[in-house]
Amino acid sequence: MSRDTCADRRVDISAFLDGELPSDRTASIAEHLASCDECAAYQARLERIRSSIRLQPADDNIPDLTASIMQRVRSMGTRRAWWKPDLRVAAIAAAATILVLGGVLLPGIGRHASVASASDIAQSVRAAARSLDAYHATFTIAERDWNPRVPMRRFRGAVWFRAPEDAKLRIRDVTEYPTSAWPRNNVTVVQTANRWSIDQPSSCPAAALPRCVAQGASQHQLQTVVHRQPFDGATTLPTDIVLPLQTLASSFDVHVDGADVQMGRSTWKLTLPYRQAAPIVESFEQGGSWRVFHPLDVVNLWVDSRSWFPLRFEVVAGTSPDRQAWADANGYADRPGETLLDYRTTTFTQTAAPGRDFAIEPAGLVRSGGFRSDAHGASSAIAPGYTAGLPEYRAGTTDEGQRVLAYARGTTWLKVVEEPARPSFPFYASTASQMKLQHGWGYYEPATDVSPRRLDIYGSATHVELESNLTSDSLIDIANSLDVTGGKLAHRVGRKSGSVVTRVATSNAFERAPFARQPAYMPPGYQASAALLSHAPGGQRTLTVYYRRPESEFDGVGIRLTQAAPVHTLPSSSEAFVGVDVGSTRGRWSVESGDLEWIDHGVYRSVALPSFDLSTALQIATSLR
Amino acid sequence: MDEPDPQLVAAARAGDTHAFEELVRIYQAPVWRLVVTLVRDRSTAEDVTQDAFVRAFRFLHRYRGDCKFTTWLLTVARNSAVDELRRGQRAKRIVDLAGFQPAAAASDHSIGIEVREAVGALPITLREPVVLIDMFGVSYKETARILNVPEGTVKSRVHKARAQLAETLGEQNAENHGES
Repeated sequence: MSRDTCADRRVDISAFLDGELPSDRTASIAEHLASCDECAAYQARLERIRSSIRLQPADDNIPDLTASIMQRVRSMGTRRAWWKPDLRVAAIAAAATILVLGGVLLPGIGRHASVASASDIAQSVRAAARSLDAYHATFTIAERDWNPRVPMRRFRGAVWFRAPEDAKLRIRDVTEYPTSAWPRNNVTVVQTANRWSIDQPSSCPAAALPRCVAQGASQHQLQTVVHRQPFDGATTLPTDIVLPLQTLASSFDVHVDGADVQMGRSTWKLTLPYRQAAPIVESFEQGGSWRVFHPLDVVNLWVDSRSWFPLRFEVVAGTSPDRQAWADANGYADRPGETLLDYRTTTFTQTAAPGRDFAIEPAGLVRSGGFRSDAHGASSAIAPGYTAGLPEYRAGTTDEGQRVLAYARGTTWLKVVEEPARPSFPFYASTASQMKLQHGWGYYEPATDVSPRRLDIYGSATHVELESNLTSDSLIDIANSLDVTGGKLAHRVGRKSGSVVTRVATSNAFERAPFARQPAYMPPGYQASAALLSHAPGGQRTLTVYYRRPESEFDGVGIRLTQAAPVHTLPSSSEAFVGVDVGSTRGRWSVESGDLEWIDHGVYRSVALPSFDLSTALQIATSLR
Repeated sequence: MDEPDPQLVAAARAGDTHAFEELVRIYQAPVWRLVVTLVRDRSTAEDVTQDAFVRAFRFLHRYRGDCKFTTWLLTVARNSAVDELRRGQRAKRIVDLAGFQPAAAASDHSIGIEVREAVGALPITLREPVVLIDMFGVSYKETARILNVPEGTVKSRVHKARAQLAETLGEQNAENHGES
């Protein structure tokens, strides 16, 4: 055997050791190794290296990072600091030039009516979102208690939007800090159809490592994304500060205080909990460092009664004892009823900014979004017959082979993503609502802090995913117009250590688990969306039912009711909790995660509701029948 | 690495922090091992491991179940490490300017220290596949997914890595082999 031939086979010999060669080549290499001393020696040499690497002693000094990781997750996740950009673009801007110029009447009421309903206002905002072409506004922000040494920070900012995806946000920190070493929270985010960039303060923790700044090290992080996918959740700009489309997607929690005047203009003053207003409050928190709010804080929002632009909003500290405990745990000196953040629009116009204002040159840390545009949208087999009036916007393919069609008008958008059917069970659908469509079945999930409203259809050969900031009803109509017949997913969700988890219908979930009780009370708008029943080999069964509002659930959970039997002791918990009476038994209330647990005659029961407080948890718990 | 209970992942994806905490407990050791092998600094590895899990929690909704959860998690960890390496020069400058001492090297074992150092000395493009395949037992297909390169590239890179390691360690190993 010649030396060249052996050299040619070396890559295959390496793969042969890993069992990664196709069967025909495996046989060929094995036969060759049996007859070639040189290749056999090479195989032995690689095997020794391979063994040396695999026999390296495991590092037994691995730090336990659980506490620090979970602290970050809990403080930024369940308390909504991670309002992700997915929905922001969605919401982008939108109020209409036509509406502003011509004036707008609330549906069903006259211009001078003194009372509007929350649903009327939400409907008007949705209408405005379809026709906004451009928007530019300047604003100020006052933020209290970001740091004990900086009781008040002040910012000036500006936002630009040009439909459907050009947007820019610029925030300048004008706070008077104790010293010049404190980093200024200046943030600029720019987005176009294909690119996205952010310039934000460096993560170098100046407060802890002041020399980082003092020595003039880089104080800013610059990141750019190229080949961006349309309405990509990870690279979008906030838009509820242009038009509060997501904030007002659901009117269950919105109270109309009445007419008011801001900037000399007629407005409606709305009051809603932070858990619902997160999209607008956090819309400018694209980068940099900001204080965190509690889901039970109160947001007052003034929307222009003609254009529906938000002219002002403020966050007021909630008064619940849970809220106070949360503030104490997070080091905030908030007083109940105190204004923590005040955002005020100072000017606005519908004049479009020139394209050069949105120009992005790749700089800093550059990443690819893995999307390539093409012009085959309308002819695509997955193009829906009905798009709620949204015209085609972009089409293309991702690096993962997904076909993407996007539709948009104003700030309203729809994305259709198609990929070949997967053999594996899409477990994430286990918490989605299973619904009958005209052609088969679909799986719907409301908007959360990390994803827009979505509806999945699992056909025999293809999987189609719809994402949108349209209403759930519109999304279902669009799904019904697709030429795809959705299959019903297997009931069995998973299996672990002998336990079998199955999806059961919410309509008869409690009948299938006689130990479980059904709540007679749920907060307004909450409906059972999914139910899972688990059978353990020892005979223990667990029923978990998710309750969500149809349009949005920004904490991603909504309300989760878990009941298991037989269970005689509460599971261990690493969280801080307080003991509470649940009826005649003693329970445990974990403040941070919002989980009420108790044992009721051999049945474990838990109400988890991270966006509510103990009083609501107890109301649900004591309503179980 | 064993796969987690799918329901545990589903619960974490739905925002259940208890479920996510369980995932952290199960997988922080392998994630840390991968990260420390790539960034080669314990202190940095701790930061990157934390970032990786925070990023995983944030982007868990993107995990579609079309690959192993462990593959997806290692992809997140690897990307976090690569981001850190890209920032490496600047980060080093910050540390130097601030007068901080770099943390101790990852390895403090006498056995295998040469191998670890040799692996650490490989270019990142060769280090990644050999670590995933030979230290974590990840398949070529999964490695290709994690590194976002074709399977053929994984095959050639892991061979090239082993060949380089053989050159670096070969004589010593051969001597040891001969003495035994």
